[in-house]
Amino acid sequence: MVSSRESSAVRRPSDPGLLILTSLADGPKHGHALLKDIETFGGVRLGPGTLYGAITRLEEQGLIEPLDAVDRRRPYRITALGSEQLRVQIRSMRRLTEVASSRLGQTSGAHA
Amino acid sequence: MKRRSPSDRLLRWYPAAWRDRYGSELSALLDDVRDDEGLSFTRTMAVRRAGLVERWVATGLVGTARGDAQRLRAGSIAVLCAWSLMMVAGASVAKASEHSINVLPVADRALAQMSIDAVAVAGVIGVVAVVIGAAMCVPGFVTFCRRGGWPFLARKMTVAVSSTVVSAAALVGLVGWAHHLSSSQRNGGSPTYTTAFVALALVGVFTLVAWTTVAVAAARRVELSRSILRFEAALALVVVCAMTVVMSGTLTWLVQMTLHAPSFVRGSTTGGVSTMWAARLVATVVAMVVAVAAGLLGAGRVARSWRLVDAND
Repeated sequence: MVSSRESSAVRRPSDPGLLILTSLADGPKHGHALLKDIETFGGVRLGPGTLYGAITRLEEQGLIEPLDAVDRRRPYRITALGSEQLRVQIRSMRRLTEVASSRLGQTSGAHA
Repeated sequence: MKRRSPSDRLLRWYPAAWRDRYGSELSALLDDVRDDEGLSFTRTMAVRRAGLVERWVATGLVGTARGDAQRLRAGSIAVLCAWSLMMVAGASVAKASEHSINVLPVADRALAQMSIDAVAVAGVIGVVAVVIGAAMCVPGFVTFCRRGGWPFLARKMTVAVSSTVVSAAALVGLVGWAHHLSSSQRNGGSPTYTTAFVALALVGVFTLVAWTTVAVAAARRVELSRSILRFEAALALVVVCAMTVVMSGTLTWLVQMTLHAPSFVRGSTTGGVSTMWAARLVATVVAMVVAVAAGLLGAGRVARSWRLVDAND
């Protein structure tokens, strides 16, 4: 029987790097604010270790940059390169969404 | 004495350089999460795992964060560590196979003898490659020490040299003692001699580990030109080939002994099985397999980075 619940074999985009870039797209955030925001808009609970692993890679690749720390909490902001990478990813996902929607539409049409 | 917070203890899983850069803010985040919802066992394990990943990334053995030259160096260092393990396993095979050929029927000796010879030749090739590799690093090592790098190595070097002196003295003593013993006493008949031999073997292993630690610490810090790095990487590939031959030869020898002289493999002529002997053979084979796997991991890293280092020259 087909369930309407989300299958474990097909998941929503949950790449930590992509989620962080998306969160930073509306302004700088520190680690805890990032976790909260990502959980709110993405429904994904990243762990602190995963978050900082992704932050390390994103900073090394110049996609985000650190700001001055306030009481040990250091905010990060997205760079121009990071914004460009996010746009590329969005275009790619949009194409996927369009193809999936269109094919689902054709399938339901064929069965109708 | 200042007591470390739980967050600070978790940070110990990360490499020092990473902690210097991100430690304070990750510690603050861990405190925030703990205040919010508490840190579950799963979450703390995930932080530990992430710390170990950063340690691997820092070595250059995984990920693409480090530069091509650093990855080439990391691959070569992995091969060096694998070779040290192979040396221990190889020494065990050398001792175990000492009189093994005589146990075989004359008609079945050729393949076993050939395998042992191949192991010996590959072992010599590996040692020569490692020695050449070390010699190539000497000028860089001297420059490194002159520029103030010695304190990084001093303690490790002291341990290695002390251990070498102890090993050498113990070896001389054991050889002198062995001259007064019969062949059967030297080969298990004298429990005291056997215990001393095992102790010497353990000191020898410790010495090898100590020198490998010195070599790894130096190899990670010494500045090497790209051409020398590539040469070291080529030597690493030679060493991995030698290791593969050593393992293949050992397995072939072991199969021949199992087929034609099963009592040798059992370690007993009475039909039973010597647990110690069987455990030693199994441990030796496992060590060889692990060494070859680690060597291949390093060789893969070398092979993937080689072209990029060439292209970036």
